[in-house]
Amino acid sequence: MPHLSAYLGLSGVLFVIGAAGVLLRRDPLVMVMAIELMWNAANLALVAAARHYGALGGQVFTFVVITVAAADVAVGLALAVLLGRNRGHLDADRLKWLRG
Amino acid sequence: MISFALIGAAAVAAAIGVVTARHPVHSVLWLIVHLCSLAVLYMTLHAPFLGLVQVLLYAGAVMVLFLFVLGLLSARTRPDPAEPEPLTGQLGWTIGAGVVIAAVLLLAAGAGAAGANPHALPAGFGGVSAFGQALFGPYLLPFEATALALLTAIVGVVALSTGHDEAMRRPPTEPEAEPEGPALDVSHAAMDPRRGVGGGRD
Repeated sequence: MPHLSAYLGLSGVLFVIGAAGVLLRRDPLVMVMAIELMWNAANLALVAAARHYGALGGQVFTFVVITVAAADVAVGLALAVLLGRNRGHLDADRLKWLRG
Repeated sequence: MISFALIGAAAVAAAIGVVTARHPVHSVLWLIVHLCSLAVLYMTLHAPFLGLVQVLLYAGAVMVLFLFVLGLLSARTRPDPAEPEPLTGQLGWTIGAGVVIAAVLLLAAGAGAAGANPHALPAGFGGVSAFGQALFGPYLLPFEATALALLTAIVGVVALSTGHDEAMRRPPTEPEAEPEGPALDVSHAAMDPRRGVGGGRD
């Protein structure tokens, strides 16, 4: 079995890919998917730590994170649907009117 | 070790596919590959229940939600890659931020648990029985707090999707003053912009 640091390194790489996706893409749906990548990178680190330390707490917290991520997807997709319906476009770069 | 390298490479490749795919449906499909490879990693990490939850809940339910919304919103509303981006310079900032975050995370991964060996696991670790006893025993309060988070999400989605249509319309201070869907109708001039609501493109 590979060492914990290998899993943590893989988790870090996946997190950076997700963060780059949020910064680079203009489609809100793809941005939500990139956020999912970051959630899952954190989950991988949690599960690997739970295995390493023999503690189930990491797995239980992963379960909680999966639930919260599902709620996050629901809210994000509702926002995307509203945006596409009322504005006629799905382009995060053109949402200047959201500023306060 | 070989299986870890193979599955890890698949997960990274699928993650890159999510970010770089041209069409959002391809992003969803790559994300399903990514989630399933992570589920296999969970299985090898003595978390069989979490692996199953990952496949059922994430690769199943959540991805169906994504595909449903993709079908609801027509492809015509997507940003056109050919037109110039309103915001520029993200690529440089992203590379800079990515290098910094990756360096910090990889350093932490190397330093955090450098010497320690994995602990021995009790029998049935990560199985449904052990997981359930942990979830409803010492971790009952966080589990119940999850219900509150889900309730908040439900209330938020219902509040967003009812009654605020007028408030979401174009405010008067908006700089772009053209009619609905400016700059996107160049190649679809014949189509009514409002037809996109019900997935007008077939």
